[in-house]
Amino acid sequence: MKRWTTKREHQIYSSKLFQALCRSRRTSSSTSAKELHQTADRVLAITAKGTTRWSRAILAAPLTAGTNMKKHKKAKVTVHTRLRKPVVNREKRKLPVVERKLRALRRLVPGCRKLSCNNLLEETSDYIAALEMQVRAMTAITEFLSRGEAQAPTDRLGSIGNM
Amino acid sequence: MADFSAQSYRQPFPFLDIDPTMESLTQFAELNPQSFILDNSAFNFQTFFPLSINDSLFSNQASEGETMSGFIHNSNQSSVSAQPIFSAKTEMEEISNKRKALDISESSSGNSSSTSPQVSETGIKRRNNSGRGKRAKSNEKEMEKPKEVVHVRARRGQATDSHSLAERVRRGKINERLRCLQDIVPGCYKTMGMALMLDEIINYVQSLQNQVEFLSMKLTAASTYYDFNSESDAMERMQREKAEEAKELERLMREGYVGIGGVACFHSSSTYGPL
Repeated sequence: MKRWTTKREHQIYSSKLFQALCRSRRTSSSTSAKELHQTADRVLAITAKGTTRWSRAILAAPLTAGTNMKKHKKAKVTVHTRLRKPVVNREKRKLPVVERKLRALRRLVPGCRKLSCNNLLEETSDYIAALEMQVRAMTAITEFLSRGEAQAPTDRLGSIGNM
Repeated sequence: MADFSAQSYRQPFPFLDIDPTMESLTQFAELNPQSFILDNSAFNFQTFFPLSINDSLFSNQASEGETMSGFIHNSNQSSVSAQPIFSAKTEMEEISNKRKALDISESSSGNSSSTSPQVSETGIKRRNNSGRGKRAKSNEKEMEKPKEVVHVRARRGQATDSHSLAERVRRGKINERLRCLQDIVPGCYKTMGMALMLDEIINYVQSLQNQVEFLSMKLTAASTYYDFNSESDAMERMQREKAEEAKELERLMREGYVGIGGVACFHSSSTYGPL
Protein backbone atom coordinates (compact mmCIF):
# COMPACT_ATOMS: atom_id res chain seq x y z
CA MET A 1 0.00 0.00 0.00
CA LYS A 2 2.88 2.32 0.67
CA ARG A 3 4.25 1.97 -2.82
CA TRP A 4 1.29 3.72 -4.39
CA THR A 5 2.07 6.93 -2.59
CA THR A 6 5.65 7.41 -3.80
CA LYS A 7 6.38 9.96 -6.47
CA ARG A 8 8.40 7.45 -8.42
CA GLU A 9 5.44 5.12 -8.90
CA HIS A 10 3.37 8.10 -9.90
CA GLN A 11 5.88 9.05 -12.58
CA ILE A 12 6.19 5.50 -13.83
CA TYR A 13 2.44 5.15 -14.16
CA SER A 14 1.80 8.48 -15.80
CA SER A 15 4.61 8.02 -18.33
CA LYS A 16 3.37 4.55 -19.22
CA LEU A 17 -0.17 5.82 -19.54
CA PHE A 18 0.94 8.66 -21.75
CA GLN A 19 2.88 6.30 -24.00
CA ALA A 20 -0.12 4.01 -24.27
CA LEU A 21 -2.26 7.03 -25.11
CA CYS A 22 0.13 8.11 -27.87
CA ARG A 23 0.23 4.60 -29.30
CA SER A 24 -3.55 4.23 -29.34
CA ARG A 25 -3.87 7.67 -30.91
CA ARG A 26 -1.50 6.78 -33.70
CA THR A 27 -3.11 3.47 -34.55
CA SER A 28 -6.78 4.37 -34.39
CA SER A 29 -8.09 7.89 -34.78
CA SER A 30 -11.17 7.35 -32.62
CA THR A 31 -10.62 6.69 -28.95
CA SER A 32 -13.71 6.23 -26.81
CA ALA A 33 -13.76 6.96 -23.12
CA LYS A 34 -14.38 3.30 -22.37
CA GLU A 35 -11.26 2.19 -24.24
CA LEU A 36 -9.23 4.79 -22.44
CA HIS A 37 -10.66 3.67 -19.12
CA GLN A 38 -9.73 0.08 -19.86
CA THR A 39 -6.26 1.08 -21.00
CA ALA A 40 -5.72 3.11 -17.87
CA ASP A 41 -6.82 0.19 -15.69
CA ARG A 42 -4.55 -2.19 -17.53
CA VAL A 43 -1.55 0.08 -17.18
CA LEU A 44 -2.35 0.40 -13.49
CA ALA A 45 -2.45 -3.38 -13.15
CA ILE A 46 0.87 -3.66 -14.96
CA THR A 47 2.41 -1.16 -12.60
CA ALA A 48 1.25 -3.33 -9.72
CA LYS A 49 3.60 -6.05 -11.00
CA GLY A 50 1.18 -8.88 -10.35
CA THR A 51 1.47 -9.01 -6.59
CA THR A 52 -2.19 -8.35 -5.94
CA ARG A 53 -5.20 -10.33 -6.98
CA TRP A 54 -7.14 -7.42 -8.47
CA SER A 55 -4.27 -6.53 -10.79
CA ARG A 56 -4.04 -10.09 -12.06
CA ALA A 57 -7.81 -10.16 -12.58
CA ILE A 58 -7.73 -6.96 -14.61
CA LEU A 59 -4.97 -8.28 -16.85
CA ALA A 60 -6.49 -11.72 -17.23
CA ALA A 61 -9.93 -10.70 -18.44
CA PRO A 62 -9.69 -7.63 -20.69
CA LEU A 63 -10.74 -6.86 -24.29
CA THR A 64 -14.35 -5.63 -24.14
CA ALA A 65 -15.33 -8.08 -21.45
CA GLY A 66 -17.17 -5.29 -19.71
CA THR A 67 -20.14 -5.58 -22.05
CA ASN A 68 -20.58 -9.30 -21.39
CA MET A 69 -22.39 -9.09 -18.09
CA LYS A 70 -23.57 -12.37 -16.68
CA LYS A 71 -27.03 -12.33 -15.27
CA HIS A 72 -26.94 -12.84 -11.55
CA LYS A 73 -28.90 -15.89 -10.55
CA LYS A 74 -31.79 -14.91 -8.36
CA ALA A 75 -32.74 -16.95 -5.34
CA LYS A 76 -35.24 -19.69 -6.06
CA VAL A 77 -38.69 -18.94 -4.69
CA THR A 78 -40.82 -21.97 -3.98
CA VAL A 79 -44.58 -21.77 -3.86
CA HIS A 80 -44.96 -23.16 -0.36
CA THR A 81 -43.00 -20.52 1.51
CA ARG A 82 -46.12 -18.98 2.94
CA LEU A 83 -47.31 -22.32 4.29
CA ARG A 84 -44.04 -23.07 6.01
CA LYS A 85 -43.41 -21.89 9.53
CA PRO A 86 -41.31 -18.76 9.56
CA VAL A 87 -37.81 -19.69 10.56
CA VAL A 88 -36.61 -17.49 13.35
CA ASN A 89 -33.01 -16.71 12.53
CA ARG A 90 -31.37 -15.58 15.72
CA GLU A 91 -28.10 -17.40 15.28
CA LYS A 92 -25.07 -15.47 16.26
CA ARG A 93 -22.73 -16.25 13.37
CA LYS A 94 -21.59 -13.36 11.18
CA LEU A 95 -24.79 -11.36 11.02
CA PRO A 96 -26.15 -11.00 7.46
CA VAL A 97 -25.73 -7.22 7.65
CA VAL A 98 -21.96 -7.48 7.52
CA GLU A 99 -22.13 -10.31 5.01
CA ARG A 100 -24.25 -8.25 2.62
CA LYS A 101 -21.77 -5.41 2.76
CA LEU A 102 -18.86 -7.76 2.18
CA ARG A 103 -20.68 -9.11 -0.85
CA ALA A 104 -21.11 -5.57 -2.19
CA LEU A 105 -17.42 -4.93 -1.65
CA ARG A 106 -16.55 -8.14 -3.48
CA ARG A 107 -18.48 -6.92 -6.47
CA LEU A 108 -16.58 -3.65 -6.50
CA VAL A 109 -13.02 -4.90 -6.28
CA PRO A 110 -12.09 -6.86 -9.41
CA GLY A 111 -11.14 -10.48 -9.01
CA CYS A 112 -12.22 -10.84 -5.40
CA ARG A 113 -15.49 -12.70 -5.84
CA LYS A 114 -14.65 -15.59 -3.59
CA LEU A 115 -12.16 -14.09 -1.23
CA SER A 116 -12.35 -14.37 2.51
CA CYS A 117 -13.09 -11.32 4.62
CA ASN A 118 -9.50 -11.09 5.76
CA ASN A 119 -7.90 -11.15 2.29
CA LEU A 120 -10.66 -9.02 0.87
CA LEU A 121 -9.84 -6.19 3.24
CA GLU A 122 -6.18 -6.42 2.31
CA GLU A 123 -6.96 -6.30 -1.41
CA THR A 124 -9.30 -3.39 -0.85
CA SER A 125 -6.69 -1.26 0.87
CA ASP A 126 -4.22 -1.86 -1.95
CA TYR A 127 -6.91 -1.22 -4.55
CA ILE A 128 -7.94 2.04 -2.93
CA ALA A 129 -4.36 3.27 -2.81
CA ALA A 130 -3.88 2.34 -6.48
CA LEU A 131 -7.10 4.07 -7.49
CA GLU A 132 -6.04 7.23 -5.70
CA MET A 133 -2.78 7.23 -7.59
CA GLN A 134 -4.62 6.62 -10.83
CA VAL A 135 -6.85 9.63 -10.20
CA ARG A 136 -3.85 11.81 -9.41
CA ALA A 137 -1.97 10.70 -12.52
CA MET A 138 -4.91 11.09 -14.87
CA THR A 139 -5.64 14.55 -13.51
CA ALA A 140 -2.03 15.51 -14.09
CA ILE A 141 -2.07 14.22 -17.67
CA THR A 142 -5.32 16.03 -18.39
CA GLU A 143 -3.82 19.24 -17.05
CA PHE A 144 -0.75 18.69 -19.17
CA LEU A 145 -2.77 18.14 -22.32
CA SER A 146 -5.01 21.14 -21.71
CA ARG A 147 -2.01 23.30 -20.98
CA GLY A 148 -0.36 22.13 -24.17
CA GLU A 149 -3.49 23.08 -26.03
CA ALA A 150 -3.73 26.49 -24.42
CA GLN A 151 -0.12 27.38 -25.23
CA ALA A 152 -0.41 27.29 -28.98
CA PRO A 153 -4.09 27.45 -29.82
CA THR A 154 -3.73 28.79 -33.33
CA ASP A 155 -1.37 26.05 -34.48
CA ARG A 156 -3.53 23.31 -32.95
CA LEU A 157 -6.70 24.71 -34.40
CA GLY A 158 -5.06 24.87 -37.76
CA SER A 159 -4.05 21.22 -37.57
CA ILE A 160 -7.53 20.24 -36.41
CA GLY A 161 -9.11 22.12 -39.27
CA ASN A 162 -7.03 20.08 -41.70
CA MET A 163 -8.16 16.74 -40.19
CA MET B 1 -13.36 13.10 31.35
CA ALA B 2 -16.56 11.23 32.05
CA ASP B 3 -16.29 9.58 28.68
CA PHE B 4 -12.74 8.56 29.30
CA SER B 5 -13.50 7.15 32.70
CA ALA B 6 -16.43 5.26 31.27
CA GLN B 7 -14.20 3.85 28.59
CA SER B 8 -11.28 3.08 30.79
CA TYR B 9 -13.51 1.34 33.23
CA ARG B 10 -15.26 -0.45 30.48
CA GLN B 11 -12.08 -2.31 29.77
CA PRO B 12 -11.83 -3.89 33.18
CA PHE B 13 -15.52 -4.60 33.06
CA PRO B 14 -15.13 -8.35 32.92
CA PHE B 15 -12.78 -8.09 35.83
CA LEU B 16 -14.13 -5.44 38.14
CA ASP B 17 -17.81 -6.13 37.92
CA ILE B 18 -17.07 -9.51 39.34
CA ASP B 19 -15.56 -8.22 42.56
CA PRO B 20 -17.32 -5.17 43.76
CA THR B 21 -16.37 -5.79 47.35
CA MET B 22 -13.27 -6.75 49.23
CA GLU B 23 -14.90 -9.82 50.67
CA SER B 24 -15.49 -11.46 47.37
CA LEU B 25 -11.90 -10.72 46.46
CA THR B 26 -10.57 -12.46 49.50
CA GLN B 27 -12.95 -15.31 48.80
CA PHE B 28 -11.53 -15.61 45.36
CA ALA B 29 -8.02 -15.47 46.72
CA GLU B 30 -8.76 -18.34 49.04
CA LEU B 31 -10.50 -20.40 46.40
CA ASN B 32 -7.86 -19.97 43.77
CA PRO B 33 -4.41 -19.80 45.21
CA GLN B 34 -2.88 -20.45 41.83
CA SER B 35 -0.52 -17.68 41.01
CA PHE B 36 -0.91 -18.31 37.31
CA ILE B 37 -4.40 -16.86 37.10
CA LEU B 38 -3.59 -14.07 39.46
CA ASP B 39 -0.50 -13.17 37.52
CA ASN B 40 -2.48 -13.07 34.34
CA SER B 41 -5.23 -11.02 35.87
CA ALA B 42 -2.81 -8.78 37.71
CA PHE B 43 -0.99 -8.13 34.50
CA ASN B 44 -4.24 -7.28 32.80
CA PHE B 45 -5.39 -5.27 35.75
CA GLN B 46 -2.32 -3.10 35.67
CA THR B 47 -2.69 -2.46 32.00
CA PHE B 48 -6.38 -1.73 32.42
CA PHE B 49 -5.56 1.55 34.13
CA PRO B 50 -2.75 3.00 32.17
CA LEU B 51 -3.48 6.63 32.81
CA SER B 52 -5.61 6.56 35.91
CA ILE B 53 -5.04 7.64 39.46
CA ASN B 54 -3.98 4.13 40.27
CA ASP B 55 -0.66 4.65 38.59
CA SER B 56 0.80 6.00 41.76
CA LEU B 57 -0.51 2.98 43.63
CA PHE B 58 1.10 0.61 41.21
CA SER B 59 4.40 2.39 41.21
CA ASN B 60 4.47 2.25 44.99
CA GLN B 61 3.69 -1.38 45.04
CA ALA B 62 5.77 -2.38 42.07
CA SER B 63 8.32 -3.86 44.39
CA GLU B 64 5.75 -6.30 45.67
CA GLY B 65 5.56 -7.74 42.21
CA GLU B 66 2.68 -9.99 41.46
CA THR B 67 2.25 -11.54 44.85
CA MET B 68 -1.24 -12.30 46.00
CA SER B 69 -1.28 -9.83 48.82
CA GLY B 70 0.03 -7.06 46.61
CA PHE B 71 -2.54 -7.86 44.00
CA ILE B 72 -5.40 -7.87 46.45
CA HIS B 73 -4.12 -4.65 47.96
CA ASN B 74 -4.01 -2.98 44.56
CA SER B 75 -7.37 -4.22 43.49
CA ASN B 76 -8.92 -3.35 46.82
CA GLN B 77 -7.77 0.22 46.66
CA SER B 78 -8.79 0.66 43.08
CA SER B 79 -12.04 -1.19 43.52
CA VAL B 80 -12.98 1.18 46.30
CA SER B 81 -12.27 4.11 44.06
CA ALA B 82 -14.01 2.42 41.20
CA GLN B 83 -17.21 1.79 43.04
CA PRO B 84 -19.00 5.08 42.43
CA ILE B 85 -18.17 4.95 38.74
CA PHE B 86 -18.85 1.26 38.70
CA SER B 87 -22.42 1.74 39.92
CA ALA B 88 -23.01 4.17 37.11
CA LYS B 89 -21.62 1.61 34.74
CA THR B 90 -23.92 -1.13 35.94
CA GLU B 91 -26.79 1.10 35.06
CA MET B 92 -25.31 1.53 31.62
CA GLU B 93 -25.08 -2.21 31.23
CA GLU B 94 -28.69 -2.65 32.23
CA ILE B 95 -29.82 -0.04 29.79
CA SER B 96 -27.93 -1.39 26.82
CA ASN B 97 -29.71 -4.55 25.85
CA LYS B 98 -28.07 -4.82 22.49
CA ARG B 99 -25.38 -7.36 23.04
CA LYS B 100 -23.83 -6.88 19.65
CA ALA B 101 -23.26 -3.18 20.26
CA LEU B 102 -21.68 -4.10 23.53
CA ASP B 103 -19.47 -6.65 21.85
CA ILE B 104 -18.38 -4.28 19.16
CA SER B 105 -17.68 -1.39 21.49
CA GLU B 106 -15.83 -3.64 23.86
CA SER B 107 -13.82 -5.23 21.17
CA SER B 108 -12.97 -1.87 19.72
CA SER B 109 -11.99 -0.50 23.08
CA GLY B 110 -10.23 -3.74 23.84
CA ASN B 111 -8.35 -3.55 20.60
CA SER B 112 -7.27 -0.02 21.21
CA SER B 113 -5.17 -1.30 24.07
CA SER B 114 -1.75 -2.62 23.39
CA THR B 115 -1.81 -6.04 25.02
CA SER B 116 -3.30 -9.03 23.32
CA PRO B 117 -4.25 -10.98 26.47
CA GLN B 118 -6.80 -8.28 27.14
CA VAL B 119 -8.57 -8.96 23.89
CA SER B 120 -8.40 -12.63 24.57
CA GLU B 121 -9.88 -12.21 28.02
CA THR B 122 -12.85 -10.21 26.82
CA GLY B 123 -13.26 -12.46 23.82
CA ILE B 124 -13.33 -15.64 25.84
CA LYS B 125 -15.70 -14.15 28.35
CA ARG B 126 -18.01 -13.21 25.55
CA ARG B 127 -17.80 -16.67 24.13
CA ASN B 128 -18.67 -18.10 27.51
CA ASN B 129 -21.74 -15.93 27.46
CA SER B 130 -22.66 -17.07 24.00
CA GLY B 131 -22.02 -20.63 25.02
CA ARG B 132 -24.70 -20.26 27.65
CA GLY B 133 -26.92 -18.65 25.07
CA LYS B 134 -27.74 -15.61 27.18
CA ARG B 135 -27.68 -11.97 26.16
CA ALA B 136 -26.45 -8.87 27.95
CA LYS B 137 -28.47 -9.68 31.04
CA SER B 138 -26.13 -12.53 31.82
CA ASN B 139 -23.50 -9.95 32.71
CA GLU B 140 -25.79 -8.53 35.33
CA LYS B 141 -26.32 -11.98 36.77
CA GLU B 142 -22.60 -12.33 37.18
CA MET B 143 -22.49 -9.11 39.11
CA GLU B 144 -25.15 -10.29 41.52
CA LYS B 145 -23.76 -13.76 42.14
CA PRO B 146 -20.05 -13.58 42.73
CA LYS B 147 -19.72 -17.33 43.18
CA GLU B 148 -21.01 -18.01 39.71
CA VAL B 149 -18.67 -15.33 38.50
CA VAL B 150 -15.69 -17.11 39.93
CA HIS B 151 -16.38 -20.03 37.64
CA VAL B 152 -16.46 -17.71 34.67
CA ARG B 153 -13.19 -16.22 35.71
CA ALA B 154 -11.55 -19.57 36.03
CA ARG B 155 -12.81 -20.59 32.64
CA ARG B 156 -11.61 -17.37 31.15
CA GLY B 157 -8.18 -17.79 32.58
CA GLN B 158 -7.51 -21.10 30.88
CA ALA B 159 -8.08 -20.31 27.21
CA THR B 160 -6.72 -23.63 26.04
CA ASP B 161 -9.57 -24.09 23.60
CA SER B 162 -7.99 -24.27 20.19
CA HIS B 163 -11.10 -22.92 18.56
CA SER B 164 -11.15 -19.81 20.68
CA LEU B 165 -7.46 -19.27 20.06
CA ALA B 166 -7.93 -19.54 16.33
CA GLU B 167 -10.93 -17.25 16.43
CA ARG B 168 -8.99 -14.75 18.47
CA VAL B 169 -6.14 -14.75 15.98
CA ARG B 170 -8.52 -14.42 13.06
CA ARG B 171 -10.39 -11.56 14.62
CA GLY B 172 -7.13 -9.85 15.48
CA LYS B 173 -6.06 -10.03 11.84
CA ILE B 174 -9.35 -8.66 10.58
CA ASN B 175 -9.24 -5.81 13.05
CA GLU B 176 -5.71 -4.98 12.01
CA ARG B 177 -6.74 -4.78 8.37
CA LEU B 178 -9.73 -2.66 9.30
CA ARG B 179 -7.45 -0.26 11.13
CA CYS B 180 -5.25 0.05 8.05
CA LEU B 181 -8.31 0.86 6.01
CA GLN B 182 -9.41 3.37 8.59
CA ASP B 183 -6.25 5.38 7.96
CA ILE B 184 -6.76 5.35 4.23
CA VAL B 185 -10.47 5.98 3.98
CA PRO B 186 -11.49 9.45 5.08
CA GLY B 187 -14.41 9.89 7.40
CA CYS B 188 -13.82 6.78 9.47
CA TYR B 189 -13.89 7.12 13.21
CA LYS B 190 -12.21 4.72 15.56
CA THR B 191 -15.48 4.05 17.35
CA MET B 192 -17.21 2.84 14.23
CA GLY B 193 -18.19 -0.80 14.04
CA MET B 194 -17.54 -3.11 11.16
CA ALA B 195 -20.83 -2.46 9.35
CA LEU B 196 -20.40 1.32 9.31
CA MET B 197 -16.78 1.04 8.28
CA LEU B 198 -17.68 -1.24 5.39
CA ASP B 199 -20.32 1.28 4.34
CA GLU B 200 -17.70 4.00 4.21
CA ILE B 201 -15.25 1.81 2.36
CA ILE B 202 -17.81 0.84 -0.25
CA ASN B 203 -18.82 4.46 -0.77
CA TYR B 204 -15.22 5.52 -1.10
CA VAL B 205 -14.35 2.83 -3.64
CA GLN B 206 -17.43 3.71 -5.67
CA SER B 207 -16.57 7.40 -5.62
CA LEU B 208 -13.01 6.67 -6.71
CA GLN B 209 -14.21 4.50 -9.57
CA ASN B 210 -16.61 7.22 -10.67
CA GLN B 211 -13.80 9.74 -10.55
CA VAL B 212 -11.65 7.54 -12.78
CA GLU B 213 -14.47 7.14 -15.25
CA PHE B 214 -15.11 10.86 -15.35
CA LEU B 215 -11.42 11.55 -15.76
CA SER B 216 -11.15 9.10 -18.63
CA MET B 217 -13.92 10.97 -20.45
CA LYS B 218 -12.16 14.25 -19.79
CA LEU B 219 -8.87 12.80 -20.95
CA THR B 220 -10.31 11.57 -24.23
CA ALA B 221 -11.82 15.01 -24.77
CA ALA B 222 -8.54 16.72 -24.00
CA SER B 223 -6.50 14.31 -26.13
CA THR B 224 -8.60 14.84 -29.27
CA TYR B 225 -7.34 18.40 -29.47
CA TYR B 226 -3.75 17.35 -28.91
CA ASP B 227 -1.36 16.60 -31.73
CA PHE B 228 0.46 13.51 -30.66
CA ASN B 229 2.55 13.20 -33.81
CA SER B 230 4.42 16.39 -33.11
CA GLU B 231 5.10 15.34 -29.54
CA SER B 232 8.81 14.60 -29.62
CA ASP B 233 9.97 15.95 -26.30
CA ALA B 234 6.76 14.94 -24.55
CA MET B 235 8.43 13.06 -21.73
CA GLU B 236 10.57 16.02 -20.76
CA ARG B 237 7.56 18.23 -20.62
CA MET B 238 5.72 15.62 -18.61
CA GLN B 239 8.49 15.52 -16.03
CA ARG B 240 8.47 19.28 -15.77
CA GLU B 241 4.72 19.27 -15.38
CA LYS B 242 5.00 16.63 -12.68
CA ALA B 243 7.49 18.72 -10.75
CA GLU B 244 5.26 21.76 -11.01
CA GLU B 245 2.24 19.81 -9.88
CA ALA B 246 4.16 18.34 -6.98
CA LYS B 247 5.27 21.75 -5.83
CA GLU B 248 1.75 23.11 -6.16
CA LEU B 249 0.44 20.14 -4.19
CA GLU B 250 2.96 20.75 -1.42
CA ARG B 251 2.03 24.38 -1.27
CA LEU B 252 -1.66 23.60 -1.09
CA MET B 253 -1.09 20.98 1.60
CA ARG B 254 0.82 23.45 3.67
CA GLU B 255 -2.00 25.91 3.35
CA GLY B 256 -4.19 23.31 4.97
CA TYR B 257 -6.20 21.94 2.11
CA VAL B 258 -7.88 18.73 3.13
CA GLY B 259 -9.03 16.64 0.24
CA ILE B 260 -9.63 13.03 -0.45
CA GLY B 261 -6.11 11.70 -0.47
CA GLY B 262 -4.88 15.04 -1.61
CA VAL B 263 -6.86 14.74 -4.83
CA ALA B 264 -9.03 17.72 -4.06
CA CYS B 265 -5.96 19.90 -4.51
CA PHE B 266 -5.91 19.05 -8.15
CA HIS B 267 -9.44 20.14 -8.68
CA SER B 268 -8.44 23.41 -10.16
CA SER B 269 -11.09 23.30 -12.84
CA SER B 270 -14.66 23.95 -11.90
CA THR B 271 -15.98 20.90 -13.72
CA TYR B 272 -15.15 18.73 -10.72
CA GLY B 273 -17.98 20.42 -8.82
CA PRO B 274 -20.75 17.85 -9.35
CA LEU B 275 -18.46 15.07 -8.12
